[in-house]
Amino acid sequence: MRKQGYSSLSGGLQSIDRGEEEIMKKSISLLILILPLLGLSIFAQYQVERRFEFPLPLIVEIKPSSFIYFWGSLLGLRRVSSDLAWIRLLQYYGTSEKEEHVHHLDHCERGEYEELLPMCQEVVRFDPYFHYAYLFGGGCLAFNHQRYDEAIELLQEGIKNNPKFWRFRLYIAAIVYTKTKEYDKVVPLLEEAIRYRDCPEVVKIFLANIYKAKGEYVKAIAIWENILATSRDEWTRSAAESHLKEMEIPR
Amino acid sequence: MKKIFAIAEYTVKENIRHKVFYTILLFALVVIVSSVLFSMLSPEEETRVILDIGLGAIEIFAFLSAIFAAVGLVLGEMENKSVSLILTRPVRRFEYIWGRYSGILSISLFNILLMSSGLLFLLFIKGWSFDFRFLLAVTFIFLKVVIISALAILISLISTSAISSISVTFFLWVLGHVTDHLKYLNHVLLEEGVKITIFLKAIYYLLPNFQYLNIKDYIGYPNPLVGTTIFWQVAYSLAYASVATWLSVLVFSRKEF
Repeated sequence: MRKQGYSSLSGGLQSIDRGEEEIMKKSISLLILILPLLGLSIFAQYQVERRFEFPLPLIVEIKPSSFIYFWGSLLGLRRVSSDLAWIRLLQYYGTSEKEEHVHHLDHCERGEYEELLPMCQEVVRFDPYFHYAYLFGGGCLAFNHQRYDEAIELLQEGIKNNPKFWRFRLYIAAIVYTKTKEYDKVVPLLEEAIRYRDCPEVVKIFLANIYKAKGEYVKAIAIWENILATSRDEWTRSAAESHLKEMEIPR
Repeated sequence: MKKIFAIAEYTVKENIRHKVFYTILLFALVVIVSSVLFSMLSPEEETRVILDIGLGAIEIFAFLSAIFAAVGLVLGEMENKSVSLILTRPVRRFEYIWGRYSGILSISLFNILLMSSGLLFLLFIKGWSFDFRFLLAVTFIFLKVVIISALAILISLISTSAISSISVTFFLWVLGHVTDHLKYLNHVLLEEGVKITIFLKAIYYLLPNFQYLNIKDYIGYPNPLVGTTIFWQVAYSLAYASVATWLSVLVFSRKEF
């Protein structure tokens, strides 16, 4: 009886051993399958890195000013962070630093906007290929606030990140000539710039003002009429209307 | 194959019955539509803002729906022991895992396609001209989901609670987007005289690398991706996801119910 008990127990233990052995065999065969796949994944990643350099800066280099942008970058949403920083920049630049609710003043009269350059830099560091942000920032700094060096600094960063985007060079040339007050050289460059759809309004306004100062009212009126027709900014449209009214007398 | 398909179908049905699925989908569509409000704040770059927020929403909600499905279904089934009912039938364990995984991917693909169609519709209303890179960005969002779903299943099999597996998966998602920082860390440590290059390299290759797959973040990059790079990126995603899924099979085959 006892012998029978021992034999059934040893039989049970043997079957457990066999089961464990089977699981072990399965595990080993799975590992044999997994290892080459792991090798392939490492090889494929190496191939991607060899062919393509990651085109965005490290987050530690950007030094995000807000917790939201930081988390946006961590979650792989750098362009969204760039857009949010861009909207914040527009709100900052659209709000008067001197008197709230004064709409008829030019941007240059509404404040110094000391943070304009760092805010623009933050936008383009999240997305170095955001062309409009460079053009807008460069245009505002140079033509609204006469901070030519800051504008050039921003546009040079644009050239470094987008060497093939030649319009940055055009803007830099226009800014340099504006700085040296060589307006005759500025005009053809800006005439070239305003032909493109992504030309910021600040550049058009600057050119219209040069025309007005030179007494070329027909050209100035054409630009203001274009701004009035295309601008989606209420303040800019009202400025266009008042300029057009003003120029009706000398015309 | 038939059994894998049957489990995948069952996973899809189960997921559709879940309230979380509809909540996530509805919330995603709300975010995509609300991107129009954000775009109004930036009239010159209206379509850019809609595109970015839309693609971001698609990715985040596809990621959320994938991890909730992976953790909720696999871990939930193990916790309430209903997995035993399935395994009493002639279903092998690898068929169960691959079936679950295929089901999660099917539902994620459906989500991504639905949200992308909504976003495309919005963009076309706003006068956006179609760009091939949009398709590439959406495809790569799916590839990221392919990887993270596989990892979510693996983690839910290893961990004991839903919260811990969701947290770990989320942590891996974040780490996957900053893997380049490991190279930077290595550089800084080498300057300090600390040599752990091999260790950091091993971590670098073992962690999922979402940076290169994150095309939506460098969609404006002037040098477009060439065919061979895309091929290797797809190969990487599929190989990595297969490793994670077979590891899940390995862990699952050693579990006792």
